[in-house]
Amino acid sequence: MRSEHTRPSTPVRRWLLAAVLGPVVALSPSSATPAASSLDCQSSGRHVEPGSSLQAAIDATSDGATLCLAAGQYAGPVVIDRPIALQGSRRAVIASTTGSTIRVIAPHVSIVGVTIDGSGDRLDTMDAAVYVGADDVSVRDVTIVHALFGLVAERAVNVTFAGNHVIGNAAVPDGLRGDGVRLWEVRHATVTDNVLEDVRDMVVWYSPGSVLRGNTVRRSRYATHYMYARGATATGNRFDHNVVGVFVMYSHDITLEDNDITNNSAVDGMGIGLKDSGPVTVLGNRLIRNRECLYIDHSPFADTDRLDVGGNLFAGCAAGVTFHASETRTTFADNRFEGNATAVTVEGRGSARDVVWHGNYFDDYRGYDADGDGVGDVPYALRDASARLIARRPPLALFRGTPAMAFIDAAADAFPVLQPETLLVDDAPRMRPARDGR
Amino acid sequence: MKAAARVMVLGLTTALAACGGRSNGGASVEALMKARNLSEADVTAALKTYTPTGRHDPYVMFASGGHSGQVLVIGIPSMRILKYIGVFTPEPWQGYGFDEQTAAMLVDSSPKGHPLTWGDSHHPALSETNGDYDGRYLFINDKANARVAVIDLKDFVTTQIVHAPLFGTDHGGTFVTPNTDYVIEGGQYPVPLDGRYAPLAEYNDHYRGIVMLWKFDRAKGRLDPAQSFAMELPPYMQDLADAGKGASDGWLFLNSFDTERAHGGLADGQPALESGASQNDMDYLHVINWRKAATVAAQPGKTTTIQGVRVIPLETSITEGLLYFVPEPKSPHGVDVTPDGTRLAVSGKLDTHVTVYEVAKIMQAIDGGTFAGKDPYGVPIIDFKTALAGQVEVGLGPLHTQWDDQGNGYTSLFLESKVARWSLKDLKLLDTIPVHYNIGHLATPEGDTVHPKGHYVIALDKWSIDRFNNVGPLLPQNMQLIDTTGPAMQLVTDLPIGLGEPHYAQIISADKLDPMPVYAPVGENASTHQADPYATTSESDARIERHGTTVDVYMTEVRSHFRPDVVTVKQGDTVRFHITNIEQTPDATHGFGLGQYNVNLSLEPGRTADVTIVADRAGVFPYYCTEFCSALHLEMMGYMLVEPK
Repeated sequence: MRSEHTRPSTPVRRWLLAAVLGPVVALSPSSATPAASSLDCQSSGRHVEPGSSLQAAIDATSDGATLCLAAGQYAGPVVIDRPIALQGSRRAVIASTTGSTIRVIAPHVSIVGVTIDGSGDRLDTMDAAVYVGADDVSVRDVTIVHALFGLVAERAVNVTFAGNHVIGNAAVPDGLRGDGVRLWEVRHATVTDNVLEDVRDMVVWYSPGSVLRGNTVRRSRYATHYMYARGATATGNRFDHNVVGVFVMYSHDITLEDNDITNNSAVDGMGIGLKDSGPVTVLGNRLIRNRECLYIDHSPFADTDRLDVGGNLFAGCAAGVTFHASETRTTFADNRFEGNATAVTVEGRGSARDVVWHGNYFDDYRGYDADGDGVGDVPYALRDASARLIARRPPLALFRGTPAMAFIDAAADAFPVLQPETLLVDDAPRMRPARDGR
Repeated sequence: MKAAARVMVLGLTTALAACGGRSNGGASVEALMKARNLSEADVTAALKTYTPTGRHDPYVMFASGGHSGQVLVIGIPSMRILKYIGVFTPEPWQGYGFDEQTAAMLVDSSPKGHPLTWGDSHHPALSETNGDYDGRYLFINDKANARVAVIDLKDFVTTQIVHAPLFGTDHGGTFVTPNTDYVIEGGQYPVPLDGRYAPLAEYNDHYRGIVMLWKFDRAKGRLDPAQSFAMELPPYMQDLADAGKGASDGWLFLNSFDTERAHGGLADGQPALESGASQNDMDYLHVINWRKAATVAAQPGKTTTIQGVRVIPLETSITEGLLYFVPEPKSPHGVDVTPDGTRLAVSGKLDTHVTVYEVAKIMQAIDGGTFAGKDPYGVPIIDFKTALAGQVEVGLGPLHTQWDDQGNGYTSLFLESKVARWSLKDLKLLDTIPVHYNIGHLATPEGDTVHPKGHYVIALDKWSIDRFNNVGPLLPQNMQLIDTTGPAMQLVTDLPIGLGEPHYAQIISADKLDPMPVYAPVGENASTHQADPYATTSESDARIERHGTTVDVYMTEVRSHFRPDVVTVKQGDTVRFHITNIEQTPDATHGFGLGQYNVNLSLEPGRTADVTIVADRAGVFPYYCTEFCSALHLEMMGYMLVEPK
């Protein structure tokens, strides 16, 4: 069943899916990739041995050179104030318990392969494993443990975080952890193939043009939080067991494609949330076992915006789609709704009748397909059962003897007068999910 | 419902259908529901708010009127608007800002020579005795102009407006200490306290935050500037405050945002302020020992007088142990003290949690002198985690919290447009309810006192989008009444407000209010609540007196005539009208409208009001009663004749 609606994926993604579907295996991308040996700096570059001053070595490295760390312990915090590459294997460990362990304040710096162990523990000073405050900086294949924040970048252009593994502190409530990745005022960030575990959030704020691809975020709060993140794309990410998968607020031109967002089942759990945003494209994502799989609040935002939701799987959600109120300029095409407590709800006594529904698969569709074209011959209509129910029945005593209360109670069983309101109509419902899983 | 009861009800329904159906305007409840497309939930909601004519509401809400500079008085649960009280702006119906005393109040609280004609009324605060509302006074701030007003609830009239020139704007007000010893006014956007120019390059050094503690003289019903003082604060944007109570009595809590000290400068390549102020992960909750500050302020040499106000300098607050910081989640928008005073609820507006602090832990850190560090101005910072009772996961964008009588907190969720209810005891979310849209503050009956009443929540929603008939691009704001008595909250009704932004509200049990029905004895001035020296208490005393070029008109009103009904003056005379409504019948209000001279007074029964004009234009000017006072109301007029020079 699963193979029916998953797309071809890379080995890493296949593993990630397997990790969710099967027993969880404690692997990280860096242990799964054979890159570590190439980071031992056997060829060029200035070498530094454990025990010596890392800061002094940085200060002695000329612009454009590579500083190679042999395996062993190095004391932080350090500041990188010149364009150099700092690299080492995972066994080269830079440790600190105060402030941010590595502060990058010069452009054209790369940090590759090392392990960063610890940072300060103050949220108000945002103590991080790596703080980036300059352009054209990349952090790759770095392992981060025991740090408050993982990777923080501020006021920079072209920042790359790739293949890093941030391991947060599961013992601390998520609200008191630091962010795994935090981008503030960063243009053109590329965040790919990172694994963030037991952190607070991945934050993209006031940062246009970011690319999030192939990342894994698990057991955290916001796997991704976009605010003023124009032009952001999130593709092929795997977000599991968080509070919220992707929350998009106050952002334009957002594309969320081919992500697996699963098991956000807390009372405020949410797969994807959209607030005052648009245009937004939500395409081919698998939203499974989230309390609300897709929450839509005043999105699309501007009168010229659109929201396109296509080819997604909504499965095992308390609510597949929750509209905060009636929406327009929105299309739901070729989505698959399966095993949700309710496919769609609309708050505030609204409806989703002004949304275009076409070619979606609803597992509670009871129509037929006489001509065998795969499309049901009668429209699918979802009715609002709650219109017939009093959410909570007030104590009878409050209204005893009033005609209306008597009527209501009697009506509940005796003569139902109210037809449930139609929430949505799909004129071309699919008889079965499309072959590509949609 | 038990089966037997259901049978009984069914029988009742049948009986009603047979004999009572006609009482519904000729239609059965069933037919009405069908015709109006109402669900059962709609009908129960209607039953919870509908209040038949003549029946009064158990609660009264005082809501700020936002840009109107007024206060709205609204009955709960009927959501009937009972009154707009003129406060920071002229209000013609009440003659507010037109008679001598109220006009002077507005002018005197304005920059010299520039009378303000708008205000941004924000946070009403009812006076308290032992932490409970006592129903005697209402305070409110004007954020735009940093003014604080006193409204006397004997007659729902504004009696005082004060302004400390240290402020550019205020936001952390008004909040009262548990016995209304002080009214707290916290600033918002830092400015140089001396009122002088300083370039933004000097922001860190010359711009400052401020909190003012206005001493309230209950016997006089007035704030006493001479006994009041301010405290200098770092140039962060102080936001909301609350006074400690019970375990935290003597302290006040004031939160802040933009501890980054971002101050715009887009043209210089700086991030927008909203972005700059969102850079750091946390801001600082200000923990202030106001009781000790009051004793320090009274000591010689401990204050600096700036623009006529005694100010405790920042360094004095630090050395005297008056001011501490505790980190609080990014850009918080409210600090709310629990009814017993042992905890504080703070919410960062980009967070998903309500952060609950334990006052005892904060005090322990202060007493033990254990701090995580200092801010750039030397203020000690208490370690965030050691001050916590815990966090409650409530949802996205929490702002403000109010309390009920069941040990629950109600937190507005701006981003999710919901109200969350959570248990204070075990810090667990109980339920949420959607609201429409973008809720800011919320209010529960007596919900910030030591004895909250529960039953309702009012959501003060900033947007209404599709809730009401389209009235053009400027949409009303939306107050939503929510019933909290059941296991899940129920939305009951909406009240659109199409005049300013009702920013915050407080709700008091109606039985605590005891306003006077009329001004008695006749001749009371509503601004002073004393006998007006110019009152005319009987028609036989009505008269016109000339003193040189000044003419005093001692006028009475009774339905339906003025006496004198003809006032003849000379062009250029100064004419001083002293008008008394000599009636003592409730609601027998008269007006005094004098066109072309911009005069309208409201003379409630027994009230005297004074207004002065310069009769600089010759001609014939009718004046008339502007309240529909009787069948002969139209005839209630007179002439002011201005003879040419």
